[in-house]
Amino acid sequence: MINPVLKKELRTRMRTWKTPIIISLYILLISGLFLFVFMNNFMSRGYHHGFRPGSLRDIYLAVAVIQMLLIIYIVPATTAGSISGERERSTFDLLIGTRLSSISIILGKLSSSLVLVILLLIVSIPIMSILLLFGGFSPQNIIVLFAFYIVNAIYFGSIGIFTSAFLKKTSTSTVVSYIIALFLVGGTLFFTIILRAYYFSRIVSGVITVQNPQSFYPIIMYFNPFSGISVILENQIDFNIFDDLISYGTQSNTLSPLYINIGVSLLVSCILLVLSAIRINPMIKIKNIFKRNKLKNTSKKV
Amino acid sequence: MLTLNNITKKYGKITAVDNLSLKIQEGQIFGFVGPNGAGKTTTLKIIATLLKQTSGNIYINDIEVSTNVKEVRSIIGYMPDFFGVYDNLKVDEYLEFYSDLAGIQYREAKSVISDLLDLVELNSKKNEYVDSLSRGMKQRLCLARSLVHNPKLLILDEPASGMDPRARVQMKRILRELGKMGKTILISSHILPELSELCTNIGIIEKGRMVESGTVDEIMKKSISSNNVRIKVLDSTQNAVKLLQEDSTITYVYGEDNKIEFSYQGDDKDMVKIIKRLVNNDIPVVSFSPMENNLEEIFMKVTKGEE
Ligand SMILES: Nc1ncnc2c1ncn2[C@@H]1O[C@H](COP(=O)(O)OP(=O)(O)O)[C@@H](O)[C@H]1O
Ligand SMILES: [Mg+2]
Repeated sequence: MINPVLKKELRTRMRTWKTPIIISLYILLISGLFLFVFMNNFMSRGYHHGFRPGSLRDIYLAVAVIQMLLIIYIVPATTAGSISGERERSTFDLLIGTRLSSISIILGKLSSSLVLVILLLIVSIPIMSILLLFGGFSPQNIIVLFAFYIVNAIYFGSIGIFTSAFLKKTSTSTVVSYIIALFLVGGTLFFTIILRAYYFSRIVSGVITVQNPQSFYPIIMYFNPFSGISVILENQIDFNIFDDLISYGTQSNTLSPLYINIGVSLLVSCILLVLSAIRINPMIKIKNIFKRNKLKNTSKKV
Repeated sequence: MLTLNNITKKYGKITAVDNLSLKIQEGQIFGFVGPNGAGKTTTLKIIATLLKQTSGNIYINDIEVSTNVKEVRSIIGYMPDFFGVYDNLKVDEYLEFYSDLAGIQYREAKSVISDLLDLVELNSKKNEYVDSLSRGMKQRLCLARSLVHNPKLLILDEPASGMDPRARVQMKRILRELGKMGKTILISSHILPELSELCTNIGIIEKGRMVESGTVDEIMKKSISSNNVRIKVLDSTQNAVKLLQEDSTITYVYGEDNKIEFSYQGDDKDMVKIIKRLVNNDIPVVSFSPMENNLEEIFMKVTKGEE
């Protein structure tokens, strides 16, 4: 049986004007971007040079990055009201007092947001398939990219659900989830750059000596989805979006930042979802869990 | 069916429910009455597994509630005092959603939903959007919602509050029907007459404590030893009330507009004394009449109704 929360969310969401507008805007943006990069390349190189595979690469790069950003932008908005909205509408008690477990409710909310993302990815397939048509890209490339998007939809969706479960108002939940998203994308990158500069200054001044300075990669960067997507793009189109800013140097496996990033994202998602489920369960208090542990600890000492 | 043993619930420093015990037998319709803020909603939420008590135990059919939440949730149907509905959802889909949540198979749910819509007289509205229904209809729909999984125990928190008189009558009819179907019902209200004809048992709660409980008859008997009088005055109601309150034989006084109700202990001679005293103090008494005991007065006497 399909998750009841998912079923209801899909039913009601499809009836609002929001969903078709999001989808239409999405198609418009992606195809607009496609045309923009295409025309830019075509015009600047002149007609006698013809169409170069390089411009296909630019289009793929632009679409891949923008799609990533759009997902990061859309997903928190669709999940940040998932629980707080129930509280605001006074439907929360009716939902939570049923036989369905808290974690199923949370997963139902998350999956309804994932369905929207999958829908967005599906409508972008016709545009992506133009790239396939001109050659140079394989369906596998796109599948890998889409799978990575889904991982990040889960990641950022969990953040939205978490803020929604812990904060009373949808408006605050939305703002806080965007701040977290912004930090994960921009903040971690910023700190990575700072840390790198500091690291290299120490090498230059001889405070530390390392064999392979290029492989410096701060852990904080693994929380950034762009650590993963940059690996995918480097593999697929041999282009490093961070250029020299961050490099994996001569790591034995250049794919490892991608795997670690996926692992970190899914782990963080699990933790946030479990905490949200505990939070909405009226029979468990997070405070009490800690209290109980404290009591246990103190009793051990005695 | 339902047993509450010394339930206490504290919200920080506020004690909303204070060492409350209660027993409801199968088939009873138990009226849970008390003024606003007495702790009715808190108690009902604890029974409905939506709040955890600070201390005390609850058993439903010998099942401990807080450790068997899922099992308990399939036995009870709960209707909150205040609730909302979803946008973009139709009446039958609304009930379908909640029967999905209760884990009922689609085929079974369809016929149950249709029966429930008949019971609450909303079958003609089943294709309308829930948020377009009137308040009374929403309340009936919410009652139907609490019944989707055929619970044995119904917990209704002020189901008739904010309804117009017609809707109240309709709600009462439905509740009576549910009682006939053998459901045990725990129903709260801050107005006693609303419950007196419907219920088999009454419990009166004030400031989180149960101050009276028993069958409707038992509670009636308890106050028969006192006499109730209603008098009408031309003016100076406040002075009259003050005067009556000073009288040691008078146990209860309530004055509003030009009417005053009071109870005293004693016989007709004492009554004469009271009237003499009123007249001697220039209270313009227009009429006075003895009253039958009824539940509302008992309620008014037992609770002080600080609102
Ligand atoms: N969530 C809450 N936090 C703090 N105090 C509360 C909360 N809910 C209820 N109370 C207090 O508990 C008391 C009982 O409230 P309630 O159970 O709603 O009474 P009733 O339903 O009889 O009107 C009131 O004094 C109320 O102010
Ligand atoms: Mg209440």
